[in-house]
Amino acid sequence: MQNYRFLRLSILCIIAFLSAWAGHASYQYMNNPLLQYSGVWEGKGSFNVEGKEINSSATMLIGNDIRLSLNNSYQNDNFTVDATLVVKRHEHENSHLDLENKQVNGLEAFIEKTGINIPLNGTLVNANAWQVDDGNLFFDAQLSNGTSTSYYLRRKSNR
Amino acid sequence: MTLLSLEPPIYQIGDIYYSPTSGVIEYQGESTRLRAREANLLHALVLSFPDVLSRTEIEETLWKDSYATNATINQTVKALRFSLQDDQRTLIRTIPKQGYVLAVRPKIIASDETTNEQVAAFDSQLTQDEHVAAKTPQRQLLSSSFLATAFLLGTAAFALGASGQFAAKYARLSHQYNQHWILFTPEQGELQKLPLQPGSPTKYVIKSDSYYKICIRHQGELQCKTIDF
Repeated sequence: MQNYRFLRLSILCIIAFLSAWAGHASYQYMNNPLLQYSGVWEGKGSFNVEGKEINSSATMLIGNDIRLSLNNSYQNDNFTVDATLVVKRHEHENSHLDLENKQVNGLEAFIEKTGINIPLNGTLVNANAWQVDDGNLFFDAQLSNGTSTSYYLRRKSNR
Repeated sequence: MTLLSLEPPIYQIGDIYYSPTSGVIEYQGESTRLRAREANLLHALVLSFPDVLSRTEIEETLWKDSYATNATINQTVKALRFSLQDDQRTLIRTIPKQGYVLAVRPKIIASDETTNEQVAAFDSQLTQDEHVAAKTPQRQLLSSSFLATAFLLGTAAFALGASGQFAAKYARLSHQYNQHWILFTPEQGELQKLPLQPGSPTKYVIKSDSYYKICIRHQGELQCKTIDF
């Protein structure tokens, strides 16, 4: 009888543990930033280099991974930066993102035509994003010169 | 080795079957022959039920031509309880200063007139009962009350997990001050130093190592300025 009670208690404990684990896993899945914010996000910002303001538009595609594309323009010249963002820390309202596979296109021609001295491998170092205003994102990209450029990103479409 | 069998009359005492003729008990399919004095004591308890069997009666019945001390009677009762696996004294109860009594009514299920065929049929029935009894724990294990408990417990545990109770807790990094978004954890009085008047357009404030950055939205584009510490 004692063994029998122990068996029933053990079964209940296992059920409780597995159910709690399954609940926790579903919570983690539902709160996965890639799932919560999946879609195409767009926004505009600007940053200052050598006293010249460069307009920048950001497009962020969140799916299985996060792709960021920045189109930076000064007068009629522009260069683009494409990178994969990796979530290094996610805290519900804030995510810290690192860059991988960064590709910079048109920068040499941009420097030549505008005379603005931007490092050839681009200036983007890492990024932070916050959830603000009804689920829109405030996106701040850290630049190598210690400054940052910010974008207010709106979701343009769900994937 | 002698084959142990229940011979009529057969008594059922709880889950135990007892034959005073052969002195054999059968419990959970296992047959055991009691020692003569244990068998006599059990028989005396059966016959005296529901009355209490006193120590004097035990002595007169079991030790007709001799005598028995209290310790001897105690030892015999203890031995019988051991044979009946009655460690908890649920079968043979001790009535202080009176004697002993069976806790359950003994039922005679085969009398002296019972034929061998009837005994064989009884044995067969007994085997079936034991088979059913062996299955009983499994039925109880999956009883409706147990399943209901397991379901409720599982649902509650799942809900608890799904509500994020077991997830890591984070400090609230962003919050609204007046209608402005503060995207860092400010120290006491820190926000009062910043130009964040109520009623002005919504501002977004971040803090770096050496400056605050305050942005407003203008025609879909963020316009930012920095304020050094």
